[in-house]
Amino acid sequence: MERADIAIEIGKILHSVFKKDIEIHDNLSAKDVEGWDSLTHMVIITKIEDHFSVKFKLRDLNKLNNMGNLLDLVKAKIDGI
Amino acid sequence: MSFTSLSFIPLIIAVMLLQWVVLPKRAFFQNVLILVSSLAFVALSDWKAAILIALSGAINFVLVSKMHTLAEGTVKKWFFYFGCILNVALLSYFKYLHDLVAGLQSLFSTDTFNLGKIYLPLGISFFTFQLIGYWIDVYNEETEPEKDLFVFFTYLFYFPKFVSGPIERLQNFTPQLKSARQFNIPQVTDGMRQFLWGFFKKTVVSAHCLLFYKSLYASPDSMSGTNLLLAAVMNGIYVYTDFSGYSDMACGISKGLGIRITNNFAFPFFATNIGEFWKRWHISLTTWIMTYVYTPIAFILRRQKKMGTFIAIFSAFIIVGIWHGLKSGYLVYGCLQALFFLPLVLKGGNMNTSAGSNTSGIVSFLRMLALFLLVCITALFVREIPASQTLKEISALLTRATQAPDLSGVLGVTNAICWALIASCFAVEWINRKQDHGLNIQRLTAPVRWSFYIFVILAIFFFSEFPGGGFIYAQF
Repeated sequence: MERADIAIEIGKILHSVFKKDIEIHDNLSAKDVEGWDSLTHMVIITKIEDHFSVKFKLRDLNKLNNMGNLLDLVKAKIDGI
Repeated sequence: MSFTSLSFIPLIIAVMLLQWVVLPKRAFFQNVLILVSSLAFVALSDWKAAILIALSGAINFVLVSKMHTLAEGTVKKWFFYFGCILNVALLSYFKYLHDLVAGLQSLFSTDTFNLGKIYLPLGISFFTFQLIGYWIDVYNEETEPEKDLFVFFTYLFYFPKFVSGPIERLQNFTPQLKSARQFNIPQVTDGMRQFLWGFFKKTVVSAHCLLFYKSLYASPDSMSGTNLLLAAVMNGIYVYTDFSGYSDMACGISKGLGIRITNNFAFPFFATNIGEFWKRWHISLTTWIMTYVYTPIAFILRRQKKMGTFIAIFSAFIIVGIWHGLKSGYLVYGCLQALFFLPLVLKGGNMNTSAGSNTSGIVSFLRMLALFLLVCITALFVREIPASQTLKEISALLTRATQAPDLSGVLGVTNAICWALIASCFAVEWINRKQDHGLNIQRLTAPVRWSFYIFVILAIFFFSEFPGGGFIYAQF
């Protein structure tokens, strides 16, 4: 799966959580999205794991600073890197 | 030595003059000055703590560096656990052992062991939490171990944050020591403003709230519900202005030295829900708890959905309670805070609103007021009084609500001025609620700015009190 396709799918997941369209770009971070707090964060992570059939490690998540990092991480997991 | 003591003010002025006027503008000289003055500050405050922290710091420095060289695997994992347990054990011995033994003996109605009073080193909770965070961050590869013991000691001993925080992460602090700090007039001026505001909050507002609290709380077993409620409010404002006053002074001094540290408070009494409150109250501790307690547990239990989230929140607030000490009141306080999150968890979070945007309108005001009263009443558990006594007092709030209050100790002309000063403290913070501290008024015109300064200085000059006992969070 291409990075751009992953971004589209994550956009759909965010829409299902926040009930509104979120523009996906590499610099997007949780603080840019109203309601993306520590409680919703785990919901989003679990939905991404289920959707892409991947499993994150806590260490991976701690290193995420923005959407670009998340897209790279999901792509690496899908590619089995 | 306290930030409000007469001996501290000349020390900080001397350090600033040395840094900005006398010494060459090179990181090495500036760091030597910071470390020497920090060591002097800590040693003059509690020389035994200085020795303990030097030893603990050196051991942690060596062990973390050693762990970093190990290959990923079981040995490294157990080395990491050992390091964390070592720090927890040190904190437990000094801070919890006495209360634990006393509690167990009380439970089993025995007095076989008499430990006596165990010495509590100054700042031990703050530096231990920093060290545990350092172990975890290096283990999780979020930062490299510090290679320079001199820089590491400067981080640990840095005097503005030593006694009561903020709990800084190494990777946020030490980069500021790597290059020379330049004299920045707006930053130094703002530091002086923040220090002045903290000094006002501590010596005027907090001091009078404490006096009012003591007066209102004179006879807890028979006083009216109104007295109890007012005493709870005074206690809540006292704790807030004491601790945030300290934090403002710490940040102000640090800005004066060209080093940024975390603002520990962001006007928490203007929050309208409990989640927002905890993002604004003791920010460095809640960030620590969020990073090292809540997130790992919530991640492990993420498949349990809302139950997993609540267990993570509950665990986090138990640690917040225990952080204060091993007393029943602190544990009840932690449990209650976790319970207040239950509606948020059931709703699935998503109740955040950006700071300031939700604090207009009568509904927001009523929410703010209700949360303020709730926080003040639950803060009654953060005292040296057993939880059972506090519970009795809280129930008396309702049962004695109609009893005539006795406010004789808090009325009169002088007290009226003090009430006005307490109110004006909140008014000024409300005006500046979108700034990083209560007296950040750089955006205002010079005459207005100077009106604020003169008001605060006159209030300090005529109404400051130094009841002794230092800052409340120094005991934690």
